[in-house]
Amino acid sequence: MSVNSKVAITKTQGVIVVTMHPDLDTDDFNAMCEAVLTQIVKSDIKAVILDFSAVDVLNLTEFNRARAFLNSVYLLGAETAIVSLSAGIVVYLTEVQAETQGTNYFFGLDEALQRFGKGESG
Amino acid sequence: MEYKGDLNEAKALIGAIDRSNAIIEFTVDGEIIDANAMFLQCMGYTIDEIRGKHHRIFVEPKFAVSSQYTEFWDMLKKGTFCASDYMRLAKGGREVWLQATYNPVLGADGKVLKVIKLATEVTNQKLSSANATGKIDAVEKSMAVIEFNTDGSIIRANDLFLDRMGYEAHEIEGKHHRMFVDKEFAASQAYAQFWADLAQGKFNRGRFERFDKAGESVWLEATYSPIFDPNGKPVKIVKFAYDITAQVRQGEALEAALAEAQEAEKMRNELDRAVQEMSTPVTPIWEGILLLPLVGVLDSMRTSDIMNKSLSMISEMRAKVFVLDISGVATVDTAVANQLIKITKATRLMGCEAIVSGLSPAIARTIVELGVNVEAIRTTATLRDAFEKALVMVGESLIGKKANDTDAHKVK
Repeated sequence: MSVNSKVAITKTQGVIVVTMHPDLDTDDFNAMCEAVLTQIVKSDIKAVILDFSAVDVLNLTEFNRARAFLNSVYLLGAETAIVSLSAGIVVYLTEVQAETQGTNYFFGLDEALQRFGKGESG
Repeated sequence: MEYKGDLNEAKALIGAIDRSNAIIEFTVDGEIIDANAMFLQCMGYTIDEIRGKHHRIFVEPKFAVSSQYTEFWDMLKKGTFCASDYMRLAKGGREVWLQATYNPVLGADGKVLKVIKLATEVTNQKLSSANATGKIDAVEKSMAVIEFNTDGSIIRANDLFLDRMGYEAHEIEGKHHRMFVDKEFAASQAYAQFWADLAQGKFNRGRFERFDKAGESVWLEATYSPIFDPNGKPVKIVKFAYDITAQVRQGEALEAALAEAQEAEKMRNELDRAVQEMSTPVTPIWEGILLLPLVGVLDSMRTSDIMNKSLSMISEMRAKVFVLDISGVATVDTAVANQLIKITKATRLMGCEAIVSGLSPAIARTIVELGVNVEAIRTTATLRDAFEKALVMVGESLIGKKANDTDAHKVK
């Protein structure tokens, strides 16, 4: 499943993994949100994971946009996680005092899938 | 030489001389009798303009009234032959150089009948020669010059060279160039090749270290220029040199100072790095667990280093728990507390839980009184408690742990 070339959406072990790409514009992001939220409503999705491993630079607006989307996911009953934030992004978000509560963070996708994949207690 | 041919041959000979030389005839008093076409062309006159006039029209007025000029004609009148390069004035005052002979013609009675001058114009050669001589003079005055045979034996050196090297001319003439180089180099293949190349006509230039009479090192910026004969064969080598010893010494001193400065800089960097390493000793203490024991004073720069180093190590080690032990931190004020919160938040974004251990009761009270949001940080009183908790978080546990151990730490 893929919204467009910039966003890859994969469903595995009852978890939706969204591979974020750099320079994602508002239209692409909104299309991704709509596709994921629709999928959550239609099928039994346990968690949504945003994978930032391909993103080297992330500003506060983009981060807040992602968190807002994950809050929507949470309201629909799924767990949320952000994975593979680079050290540089983490330092930046810390320095700008970004609000980071309300979601789970993992070093890599494997850890997140281990936590939320089917058969795990979550 | 006495001519013994017939009249026709004599005429032919005179014709040949006439065609190849500028010729002019004078009376014994110097009045012009005749001149050939080549002479007239050379001096820019017609025969009518000069016939009957005195030779002095060809010389500078000052010279014409001099005793030297009078003596010149007296000698000719007496039958003395004169040959030299003469500067004469052509029509309009143009300077003309003539390589000439003044030949008194004697009569049967042995008296001088007239004077014939045979000349070749050498103005261009003379100017060219003067130009070259001027250049050579200038070089000799400003540069150390020494000349060698192609085998390296010394022909001569100018005063500048002799003064710089501390020799008298007779001490070096005829000796070999090797007297100016160290013995090891003089015996080397490179030195033999150096002279072999020069003997073959190869030009050489560069900075050369030579040794003066006292054995002191002298640095010369020099050119070794082969001089060729008309057949293109090298006949001697001329070396033009500037003494650059002072510059070389200055350069060496500068290089030494630079090397010293670089070494000091390197040492300082190593020291800085060591201090930085020591101030942020992030250490893996268990699979998935990192420990950072902090000692001393925390400021914003050090906190920034701690965060960068910690996040790098978390990324590198894929750590799940990061224990930050502050039992060695002297004071915790608002700024330090906020920095600690920053670090714990940052580690969490990396998917790693942070535990701050080593809080004394006083620090715990201080943090609360400062109004720091303690909900955001996971703390323990001792490092042991933090380690035990960290083990649980990575799915391990301490074997032999006492059942009645009280969990003194707080876990959020």
